[in-house]
Amino acid sequence: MYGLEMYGPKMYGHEMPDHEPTNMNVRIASAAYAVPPDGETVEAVLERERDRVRTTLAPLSPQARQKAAEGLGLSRVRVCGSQQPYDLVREAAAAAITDAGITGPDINLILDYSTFPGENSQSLSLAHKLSADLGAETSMNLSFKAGGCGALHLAIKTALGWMRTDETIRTALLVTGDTAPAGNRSLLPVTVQGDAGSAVILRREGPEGPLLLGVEAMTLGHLHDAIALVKTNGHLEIKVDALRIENEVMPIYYLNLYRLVQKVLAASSLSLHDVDHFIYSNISRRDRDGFRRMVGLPEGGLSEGGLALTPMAEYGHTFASDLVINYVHLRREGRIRPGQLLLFASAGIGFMWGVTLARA
Amino acid sequence: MEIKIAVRQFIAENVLLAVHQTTIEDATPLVSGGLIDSIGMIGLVAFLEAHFKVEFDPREINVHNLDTLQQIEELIRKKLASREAGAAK
Repeated sequence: MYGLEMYGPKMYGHEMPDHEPTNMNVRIASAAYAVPPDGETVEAVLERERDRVRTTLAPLSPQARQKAAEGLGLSRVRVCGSQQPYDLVREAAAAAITDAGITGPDINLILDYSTFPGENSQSLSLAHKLSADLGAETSMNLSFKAGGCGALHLAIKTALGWMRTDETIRTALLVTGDTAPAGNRSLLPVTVQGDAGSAVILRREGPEGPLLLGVEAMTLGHLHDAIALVKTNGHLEIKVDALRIENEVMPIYYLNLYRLVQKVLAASSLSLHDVDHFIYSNISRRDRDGFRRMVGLPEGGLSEGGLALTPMAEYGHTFASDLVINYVHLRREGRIRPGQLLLFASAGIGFMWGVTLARA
Repeated sequence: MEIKIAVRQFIAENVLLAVHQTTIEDATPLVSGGLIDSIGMIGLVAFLEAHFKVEFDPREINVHNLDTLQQIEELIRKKLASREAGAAK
């Protein structure tokens, strides 16, 4: 029963032009991710950051404070020790290139959409360094920071834009590598962050992989400081404005996502009933439950499409790598069959919302 | 008055399900009180836009504007007045 589907497509906010992917044959040729070997329990993170957590949650009601730590569904997070996010990106990119059956010089475009590439990141742009390290000598390289876990859609949309306007761009490598700034793993009342890197390869006229049918994204700049990055004593700090999350973000969180989902489906004359796999973020169990209700799946319904397969309990929320991780696990388990419809959805800091539709 | 009646009825029948509409007072906190969650907002906003033929800017959808029937009525009235003023030009 898809109870909300009576509310059809309707959009507002800062939307990007739609439908451009539908007239191009672009496929998700491959995807891969890498996580560091070291880990930490979520309990230990919250204990170590208890003062920060207490300060962040202080403006909330006692009921909301209690709710903040419940239903996370996250046990551990992976943490960069000696590795940097770039190392994870490089590892994931190498795996994705191999999986796609291409080589570095085949790549025409590298988009890096990392939100937290690491305070010690030595490169001006991960995309440029990656281009050099992969031997993608002629690739167009671009790093942008926007959207948190919703940024994959922005990257796909940006890649499609480049492909549409430049015939020579046929293979795009999209990467993100993120690590929480020291002492800032807790994003309560939202989530707890783990580190990861991931890579997706898109190929125009590619021989295999899910065909992109549509991608929609919207941003709302007035919420830019609901979760903000500030420098304190020379170090990055993530400031979560719990009240704004509660009062301004949550009332529209699923509303915007739902409207984007409806819009991308309607553009392909499809409905929620047609979707075989929903690939969603690993922010928390309660967030995944909210998404499940939003798309009208029965309790446990999202498990069929991903929750049971996602290693979210072990990895934590890895920002935009979540979707790649869950997609890779679905593929590894052999759950994705030819012809099936995949709907990727996520929202993130900025704030931004995004949805991508693909046919396997 | 009609605005509140229509909204109260919609909320009682579609969002709160089993709760009788008389339990929703004009000042009952719907969102901050936990009666309407983020999923419920999808239906509420769709109803308001369709029923009153208004459109919301995303900035307007927050607990400061839509937490009580009183606030909802004020916002809808403002939008209707603005629409009428625009039509009269």
